[in-house]
Amino acid sequence: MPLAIVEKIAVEIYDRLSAMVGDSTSYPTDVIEVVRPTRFANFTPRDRQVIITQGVASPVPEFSCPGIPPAVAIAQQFNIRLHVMPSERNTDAIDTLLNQFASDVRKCICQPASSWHTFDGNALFGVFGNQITFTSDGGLEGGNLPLIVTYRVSEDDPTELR
Amino acid sequence: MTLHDLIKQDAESVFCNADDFAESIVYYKRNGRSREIKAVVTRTNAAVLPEGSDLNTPVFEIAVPNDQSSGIASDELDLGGDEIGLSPRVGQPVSRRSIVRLLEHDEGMLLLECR
Repeated sequence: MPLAIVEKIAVEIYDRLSAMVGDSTSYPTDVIEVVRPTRFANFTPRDRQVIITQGVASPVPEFSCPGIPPAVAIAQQFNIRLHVMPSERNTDAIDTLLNQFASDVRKCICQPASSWHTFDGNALFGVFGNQITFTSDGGLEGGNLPLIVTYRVSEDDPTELR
Repeated sequence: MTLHDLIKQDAESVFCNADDFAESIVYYKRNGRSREIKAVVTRTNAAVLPEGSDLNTPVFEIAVPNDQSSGIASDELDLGGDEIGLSPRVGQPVSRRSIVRLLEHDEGMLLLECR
């Protein structure tokens, strides 16, 4: 069964980030796991954990094309959440840890440099949105690094790349 | 025996009595050590992770004696990595859940939030 193009992009993002797990040579942040949550939340918050979810998907008329069927361009936001839960005894500034984490994740996603934005030939381009830092009343800290990926498919078949 | 001592004693022998409402769970410290302890676990429905806005995770409120052997001492607890091993639903296999918050504590008990 062919996958929807947006799912192929999601899998590509997941695969790229999963390569960070256990690779402390290429990336200083030792990512512990990358999760696409199930309906019943198959994860517990952990330090240096990445959670990928999908946010809003918006049509992009300027990149859509007329035809039978028309080709529709869609900008899909992926929320890449970076969880930071260092030990209470850790004396590093939380922002320092998060800055390093976000930097490593961004560098990982932007590989290979010349074609990262196509996500294995499935997208027109990708851009990072405004990073939001979240803090809590003693719980986990971290940030959301939104990645907006624009792709184009047939209006009547989201598995057909256009 | 002071009131302080009585509160501590009651936390272990009355509130966390496994013959009543308490159950055995495992406390995993960040440093890799673990021990079995008695606790009263309140399993609630999944709730939005406050820091994640659209992420739902199960919530567990766990009451344990404030003690380094029968429970968890407030000064040993590390909210950055300590975990609890428990059944998400009664009868399900045990899984490890992070302790994300210390909701309340006094000399006798700790009330923890796990996700």
